[in-house]
Amino acid sequence: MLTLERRKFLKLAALTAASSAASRRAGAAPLAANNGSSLAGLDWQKAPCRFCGTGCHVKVGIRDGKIAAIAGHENAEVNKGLLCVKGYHVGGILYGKDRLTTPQLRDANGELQDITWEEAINVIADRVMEAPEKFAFYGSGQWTIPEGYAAQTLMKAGLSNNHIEPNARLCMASAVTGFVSTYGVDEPAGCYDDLDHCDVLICWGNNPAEMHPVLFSRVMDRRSRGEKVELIDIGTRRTRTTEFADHFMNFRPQTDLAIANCIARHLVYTNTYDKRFVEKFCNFRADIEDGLDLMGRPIDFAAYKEMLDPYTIEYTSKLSGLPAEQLQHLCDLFADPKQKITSLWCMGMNQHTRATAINRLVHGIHLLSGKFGVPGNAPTSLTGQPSACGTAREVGTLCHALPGGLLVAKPDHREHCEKLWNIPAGRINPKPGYHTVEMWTRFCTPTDEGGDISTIIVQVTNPGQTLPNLKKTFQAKKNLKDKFLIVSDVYPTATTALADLVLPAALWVEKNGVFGNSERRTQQWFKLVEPPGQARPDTWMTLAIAHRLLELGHPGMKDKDGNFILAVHDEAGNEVPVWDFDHFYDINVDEALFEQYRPFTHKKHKNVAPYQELVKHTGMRWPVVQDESGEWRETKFRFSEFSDPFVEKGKEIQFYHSTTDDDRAQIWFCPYEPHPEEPDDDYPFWLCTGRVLEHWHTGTMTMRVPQLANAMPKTYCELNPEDASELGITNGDPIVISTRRGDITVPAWTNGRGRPPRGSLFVPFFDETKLINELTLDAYCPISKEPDYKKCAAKIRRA
Amino acid sequence: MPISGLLITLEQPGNIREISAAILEICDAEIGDLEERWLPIAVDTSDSRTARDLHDQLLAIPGVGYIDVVSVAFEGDSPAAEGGSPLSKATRS
Amino acid sequence: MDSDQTENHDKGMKRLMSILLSIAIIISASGYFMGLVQTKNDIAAQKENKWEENKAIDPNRDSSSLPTAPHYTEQSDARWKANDDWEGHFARLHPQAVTRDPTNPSHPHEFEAAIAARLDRRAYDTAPPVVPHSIDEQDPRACLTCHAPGNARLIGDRLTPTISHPSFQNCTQCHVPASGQHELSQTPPSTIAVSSLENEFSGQQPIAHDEIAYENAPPVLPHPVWMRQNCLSCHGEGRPSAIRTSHPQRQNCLQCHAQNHVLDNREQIINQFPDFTPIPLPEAPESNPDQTAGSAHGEHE
Repeated sequence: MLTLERRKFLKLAALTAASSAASRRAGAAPLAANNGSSLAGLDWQKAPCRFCGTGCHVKVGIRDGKIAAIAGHENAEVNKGLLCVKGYHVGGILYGKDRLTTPQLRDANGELQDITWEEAINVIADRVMEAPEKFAFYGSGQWTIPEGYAAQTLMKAGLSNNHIEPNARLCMASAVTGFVSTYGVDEPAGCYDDLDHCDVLICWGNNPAEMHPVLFSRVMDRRSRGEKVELIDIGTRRTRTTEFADHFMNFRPQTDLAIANCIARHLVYTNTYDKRFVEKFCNFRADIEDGLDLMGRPIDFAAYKEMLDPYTIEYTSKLSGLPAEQLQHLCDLFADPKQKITSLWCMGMNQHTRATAINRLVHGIHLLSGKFGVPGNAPTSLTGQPSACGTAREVGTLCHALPGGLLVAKPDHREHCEKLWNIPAGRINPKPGYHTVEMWTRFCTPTDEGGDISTIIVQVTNPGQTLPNLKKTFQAKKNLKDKFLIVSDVYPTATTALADLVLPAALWVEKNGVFGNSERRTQQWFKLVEPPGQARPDTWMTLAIAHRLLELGHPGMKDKDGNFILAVHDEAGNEVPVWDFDHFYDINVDEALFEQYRPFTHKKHKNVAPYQELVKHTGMRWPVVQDESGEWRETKFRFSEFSDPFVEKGKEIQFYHSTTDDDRAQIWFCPYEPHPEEPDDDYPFWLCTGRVLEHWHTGTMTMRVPQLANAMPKTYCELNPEDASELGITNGDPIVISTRRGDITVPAWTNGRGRPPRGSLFVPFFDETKLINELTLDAYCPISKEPDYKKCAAKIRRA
Repeated sequence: MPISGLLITLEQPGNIREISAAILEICDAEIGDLEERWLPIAVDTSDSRTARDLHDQLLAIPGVGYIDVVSVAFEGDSPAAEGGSPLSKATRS
Repeated sequence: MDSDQTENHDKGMKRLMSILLSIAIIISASGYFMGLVQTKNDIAAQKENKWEENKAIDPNRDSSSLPTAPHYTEQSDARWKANDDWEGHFARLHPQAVTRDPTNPSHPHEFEAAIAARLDRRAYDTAPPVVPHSIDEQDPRACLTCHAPGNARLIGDRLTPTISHPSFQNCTQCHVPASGQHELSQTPPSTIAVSSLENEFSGQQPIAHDEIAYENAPPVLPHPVWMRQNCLSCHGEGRPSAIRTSHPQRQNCLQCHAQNHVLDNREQIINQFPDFTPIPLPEAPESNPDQTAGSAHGEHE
C-alpha cells in the first residue's frame, strides 16, 4: 500500500528535483547574456586525480577561488585526456556541506565540542608523552608522499616506535611480498605502456572496466582502432569486464593457485617454457618445510618439476570448475612465444589468505614463459589508492619498513636511514611494529588484557568502515574508556563517530601534494584553492605534533646535532617555523620534505625525480636519473637493459636486487590450499565484497557528489537469479546476509550490474549505512598480513 | 499513480501570484520557490492519462511558456503490490 | 504433465522435431536472403507503417513454449527467471530519416531552453552528461544499439542522439544514470543531473553566445571540441531546432567555424608556483615590511 507518508515523500522528492532544475536554469540565465570572455576567468591548473591508483592527470578549472570545472589532461601519458565519471566529478568532493571545519574534542557527556588547533595539538602531544610506546599512527595510500614521510620520521626516527601502518596493508601488502620474494625489490617492472602493446590481456580476479576504467579503455579502445587484443577474464563472477572478454573463466574461489600451477606444469612438462630466459635469469624456490615465510628455500628445477606434477589439466579442471579446454587455452597462450601477454590484478589476488603465493605464481608463469621485460609482456599489479605505491610502499609507512624499500629488521638498512635522518645510531627500533589488524585488535582490547595500544591517530582513511570484522577490530573501542582515538578527516565518517578528537583536514588541491601511482609514476600538484574554515593539511598536523613533543622535552625529536628532526630550512639555511601555521606557507614544505626524502630512494635504485622536475611534468616514472646531457630521464621498463639505466651493459635483463645475489628472479612453487572458511551446510554461500565504478572506497567523498550518489545510491547484494528464485527472493527484496560474525539487511539485485554464479554473493562496501565489513573474515595472508575481504562463508534469507 | 516533478517556464517573471492560483485551481500541486522565470511544482495524478491532461491544462494557463518534466515516479498502489505474489505462479512451470 | 507416456513418444518427438527444425532452417535461410532483396526494395518504397515489421518477431517459434507474460500489475512480483533470455528490440526499430525544415533564426527562448536543457544533464559545462533513462547495467556496449553512428532510433517522438566520440565505447565509464539502481530505487527516476542541497559545488556555466567577427560571419565554436568529433551528434537532425544546423549538407564544420582558443581545451598548462611570499618572522627584521603580503595563505577564520 502506498501510504500517505510515502506519497508525501515522493512528492517532496519530485519537487526537490524540479527546484534543482529551476535554480540551475536561473543560474544559467545571466551567463547566457555574457560573452565568450567570461570563460577566460577560468584558471586551469594541473593535478593528479584524487581517487584511484591509475593516476590520471586532471585539469582543474578554478573560478573565484573555487573549482568550477574539470577536464582530462590531454598531455598526460596515463589518461591522454580521458577520465572516468569519478574523475570528471572530482571537483564536487570539496564542497559537501558537512565538511569538518573545526577541531573537536569529545567531552565527558560524549559530545564533540569545538576547540582550538593549539588545544588539539596539545591534547595529542600529551597523550603521546604519557606512553610513547603505546601510540600508533594509522594512515593510508592517500597520504601524499610528504605527509607519509613526516609521519614516518616522527614515528621511526623520533619516537623509535614502529607502530605505523597505512590502510594499504589491507590492499597492497600482498603485492609487495609477491614482488619482494620474486625480484628482491617492490613494484612492477612494466608500466601502462604494456597495455598499448599486449596481444593478450589477462585479468586475474580483476574488474578494471569499473575499478580502473581509464586503463581498461586504453586497451579496449585499441579494438575500435582495428587492433586485435584478446581479453581473458579469470574471475569468480561476471562483471562489466566480462562483457568485453573473449573468454570468461569462472573459477571456484581460491583455486586460482591451482590454475597458475597448471599453466606452469604445462610449460615445464611439454618443454614449452622459455629455456633461455629461465636458464639465464631465474632460480627456483619453494616454501620452507614447516610453514610460510617471505624468502622460502631454494630448490632445483627437478624438485620444482616434481612439485608441479599433480596440477594436470584434469585435476585442475576438477578443482577449479574451469573446463579443460579453457585451461588448455591458457596454457597454449603462455606456451606460444609469439603472444605478448600482460597480466593485471588488484584486490582479487591481494585480498587472499594465500595472497603472497598467488602473486608469486603469476610472476612465476610470466618468468617461466619469458613473458617479461619486453613492452606488452608484463605481470602488473594495480593499486586502488592514488599513492599506495608512492607513499605506503616507497616511503615505507608500514610497521616493518623504512623509506626507499628498506627494512627495520636489517641492521645495515637501519644504519643507512639513521645516517640520512642524522639521528644517533640505534635510534630506530629493530623490532617491527604491529601490522594493521594486530594494531586495531590491540587498540580494541582492554589494557589489562594485553591491549597495549592506547592512542591511535588516523589520517586520510576510514578504518571504521574498512577494517575486516569491524565489531572486533574497531567498534569494541566504544567501551574502553582509557583508549583515545584521534581522527583527521574531511567529512564525518564511521571512524569519526568513535573519535575522541576530530581534526578538520585540507583535501586534495586545498594543499600541496605528491602522489605515486601504480606504474612508479610520481606526480606533484600545488595548492589551488583554500580549505574551508580551519581545515589544515595533514603534513602540518604532524609537524605541529612533533614540534610540541620537542617543546615537551621528548629526546627523540632532536637529531644528532640537537636540531628538530623535521626542521625545514629556507634557501639561506635558516630554519622556518612551519609548525606554526602562520608560517606553514612561508616556504614550500612539500618540496623541502620531498627533497629530504629523495636520497632514501637511491639505495634500492628507486630514484624519484627532483621536485622541480616533477613540477614540469604530468608525473615521471622512477628510477629517474640524469643522462649525460643533464636531462632527467624516466624508466618505463625496469630490469630491461634497453630502458633501465641501472642494468649493466650487455646483461639484457638484470634483477639487480635479487634475493639470491646473482641478478636472478625467483620462480616460486606454492601449493593450492583450501580457504580457511569454505562454504558449508550452515553457511552455503561465498561472500565477496568490493567497489563499484561510481564510488571510491568508503564513499566519504563520492557519496557527497550528487551525480555519483544518484547513480549508485546504496549498497545491494548481487546474487544468482536461480538462487534467488529458490529462496523466493526477487529484485529489491530486503535480504539478511549472515556470517559467523554478524548480519546485515540489504536489497537483493539479480541480473543487475554483476552476475555471480550460483552459490556466490557480492556486496559493495561503499555504503556507510550498511557496514558489510561487520561480516567479513579477519583471517589474513600469514606473510603479507593482508586480510581476505573476497571470501567468507555466508547464508541468506528473505527479511 | 504518477507523481511528477515539473518545471514551468514563465513567459515573464512577474505574474507569479496569479499563475500559482491558477495552478492550484486545476490541481493539488506542491509549488516550490520561483527562481527568476522558473517555477518548480510537484503534482500527484491518478494515472498517466490524467497526468497528460493536467500537463495540457497547465500549459494553457496564460503566462506559462513551457513545461519540462523533470521526474516521474510511477510507483503505484496497484493490488499486486499490496502483498504476496498472487499471480507470479503463472510464470512458474 | 503426465510422465507415463514416455520414451517412444519422446523419440518420435525428437525425430519430428529435427525434421521440423531442418525445414525451419531452410525456410528461414531462404527467407533471409529473399528478405535482403526485399528490404532493399522496401526502403526504396519507404513504407507507411514503420511498426509493421516488429509485429511478428519469429513466425517459426512455437508460441506454446513461451512462458505466459505476466500482467502489468503482476510485474513487480514476477520471477525474473522466466525472462532470462529477454531481449530488447530497440535494434529492430527503424531509424527515421527526419528531414525538418532548417529553422533559422530560432527564437531566443528556444535557444535558451536548449542550452539550459543541455546543462541540466551536466555538473558543469563540458562534464559528461548523465543518462536520462535506465541503462543495461551489465554491458556498456548495449548503449550503442541506439547511440552508435547510423543507429539512431525514433523512440516516441525523440530521436536518440549519436555518440560524438565513436572511438570510445566503454560508455558507462563516464556516463552514469541520473538516478541509478532503478530496480531498487526509493526515489523517483530523474532525467536530469539533480544537484543536491548537500553539496555546494557550483559548476562552470556554458557560454551561450558565440563569438562572431562581423554580421553573418560563421560563429566561433562556443564550446570545446575535445571528445566532440561528430558535430552532428548535437547539431544534426532530430536535435533541438535552436542548435540544429541550418545547412546539414555541408559536412566539414571546422572549415568555417573556428575553434575557440580559450575553450578548445588544448591550452598548454604551464605550472605556476603559488605565491609563497613569506610572512615576516619576528626575528627577521630585514624582511618585507608589507604586512599584508602572503595573507592569502594564512589562516581563514
